[in-house]
Amino acid sequence: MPELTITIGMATSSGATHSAAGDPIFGRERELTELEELVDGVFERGAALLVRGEPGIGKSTLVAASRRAEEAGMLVLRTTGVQSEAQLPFAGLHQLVLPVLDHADGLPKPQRAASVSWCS
Amino acid sequence: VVLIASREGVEGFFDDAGLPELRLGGLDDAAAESLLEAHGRRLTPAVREQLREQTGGNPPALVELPVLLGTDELGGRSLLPTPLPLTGPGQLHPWAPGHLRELPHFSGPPFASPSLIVPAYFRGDFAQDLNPKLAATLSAQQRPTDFSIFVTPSGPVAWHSLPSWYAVSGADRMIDPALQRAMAQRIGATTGEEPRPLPRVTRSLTLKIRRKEAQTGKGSGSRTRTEGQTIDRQWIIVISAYSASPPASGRPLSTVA
Repeated sequence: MPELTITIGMATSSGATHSAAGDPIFGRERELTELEELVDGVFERGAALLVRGEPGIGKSTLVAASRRAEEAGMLVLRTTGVQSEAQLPFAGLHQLVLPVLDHADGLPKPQRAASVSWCS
Repeated sequence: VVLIASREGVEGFFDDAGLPELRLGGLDDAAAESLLEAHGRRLTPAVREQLREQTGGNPPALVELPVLLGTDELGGRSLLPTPLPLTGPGQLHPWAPGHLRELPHFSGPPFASPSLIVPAYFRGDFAQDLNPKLAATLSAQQRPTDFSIFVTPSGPVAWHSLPSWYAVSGADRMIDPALQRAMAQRIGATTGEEPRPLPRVTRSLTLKIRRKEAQTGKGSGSRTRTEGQTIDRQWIIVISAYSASPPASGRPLSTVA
């Protein structure tokens, strides 16, 4: 099941070579640089990247390394696909926006109504 | 910026999204050597290369599979088995057999019988944020667990059709109480909360939650119950088993679900 991370804000380059848990990451310097470039350019352009690979190859570790964005004051939202929730409408979206649902009052009325309908 | 991690070979929502892709392959020899050395796995270059080829440079496979190999195989005096253990589709798991000790009177494939986490791996696998002394205490108090629950595909969620109650431990040091509350909200459970660690479900807490449901009339029971329907299955979730503070009673900690 896919894992989705959304980063909002701007980061400074820190040359991250450690996982979110603090363990060293080996052999992924090129990929980490690519992620850093995406995050560093967030105020100039939006970007999306699909990281693919076999189980255990390091996809989640690589994506989680973007925690440095949080350290730079960015808002980072995460969601992870859960097999048992595959048939539930908006389950992944609910997990993603749950930390910021308190801000729903600031949305325009149609979007607020929509968010309330699928989150309740 | 949107980052998505998706497993290869599994049909998914993002397959046809037209997004730029970053395809992760296996580690090269230099990275594999660094990884193995960091985990104390010292192999001859020839064995390491053979292992890397057969695992496709998969990091957890590189780290865990040497545990299953014999001295002669690790020393390059005999060939590695082909295929390597646990490298079939869907078999690789972060908790490799070397981390588990099956109970002696059971036998079967890995993860299929009640097992304990080997003490040397307990803190790293299960209790990273606890001090070593407390982690050792918890390790000694383990109860056998059927680890097949971690590798068996799950079915439809039960809480979607069954009434649910959730007991939140406000002093939980392993799972953030805020996360527990979010999970409770997610399953639409009637929620009770205790400010102290919850080593087990107590009758008083059960009554407290059920009383709250009866008072508010908004609990999951009333949400899912229709007229004439008999609720024959109920469940209570308690995720609060491990706290940084030992239980006041001195009794073993346990998870009850």
